[in-house]
Amino acid sequence: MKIFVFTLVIFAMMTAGIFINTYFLDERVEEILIMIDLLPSPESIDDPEQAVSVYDVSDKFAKNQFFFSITLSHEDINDVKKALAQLTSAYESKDKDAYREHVALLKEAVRHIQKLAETSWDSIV
Amino acid sequence: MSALFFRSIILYIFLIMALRLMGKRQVGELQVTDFVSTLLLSEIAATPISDPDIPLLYAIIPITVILSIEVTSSFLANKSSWLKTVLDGRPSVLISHGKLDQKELEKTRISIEELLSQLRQKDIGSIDQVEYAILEQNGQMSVIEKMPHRNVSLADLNIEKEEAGIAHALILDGHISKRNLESARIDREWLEKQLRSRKLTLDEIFLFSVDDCGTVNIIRKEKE
Repeated sequence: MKIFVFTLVIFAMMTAGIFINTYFLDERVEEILIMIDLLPSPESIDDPEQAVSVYDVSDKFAKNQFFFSITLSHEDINDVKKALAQLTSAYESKDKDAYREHVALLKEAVRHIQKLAETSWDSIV
Repeated sequence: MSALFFRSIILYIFLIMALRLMGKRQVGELQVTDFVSTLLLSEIAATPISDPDIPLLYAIIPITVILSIEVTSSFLANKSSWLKTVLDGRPSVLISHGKLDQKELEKTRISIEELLSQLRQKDIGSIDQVEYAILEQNGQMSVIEKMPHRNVSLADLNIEKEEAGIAHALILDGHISKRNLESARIDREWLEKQLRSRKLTLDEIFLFSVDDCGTVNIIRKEKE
């Protein structure tokens, strides 16, 4: 009986942990997606008064990387890091077409992380 | 590389804890549910050890879930015979009152050759000698022989003998086992007296055991 109760307690704690983690993961990913949406358009890439810069997005992701790495596959995290690196490079070289492309790729990579964290039939199946 | 090293240690310890919580059933004769969970556990634990891209939680969470299901199902199965039958099945009686049940044999998909082989492995040369043959849920076969073929026991010969019980290992590799002293209901003074009377010290003893009749058996350590 003791082991049964102990196991149930561990199971309940783990379940609670999973849901809390999913909530916070979703929240942090959402913040990053909002920041990506606030990135300057390719036309105003030179605008000194940018609300959010590419470096801000990189910093935000770097701060949360440890948290993400606990529950997400490193491959998915590396995809985001790669997209960020390419975006930063396009931004610094002022290549508008590459910038536009890599913003889209970055958004896609971050959305993919969000989907992985979701509890849905798609992610289960 | 060091990550692989630490992952292996962490998952190994976690697996040991999980198997200990699941109980002796996992290590001994396996029922269906035990077999499934043991197979799954080994697969789940192996993947993150060898692939550093996979987070440890990808093993820890499934192992915890399987552990919870296993403990819960075994606990509930003990309370409900119906559930126990659903999860573990029933024993199949292949030979009953000396008569082979061919339908049951077909149902369990065991051929007559396999049955004869199982009997031979139990030193039974002919199916005529068998009163009951039962295929248990864990796949083992239990065989009860007909009376004329059973080994003679002391009871058959009307011989009375005192129960020898089991041998209690009181000293193991130079160390006194307090637990075994308690289970044998022997006090430490008696043990020390035995050693003194034989002019032995603890360090010289590899095994000191005594059965319920008081018969002492000593194995001394080999000199290096």
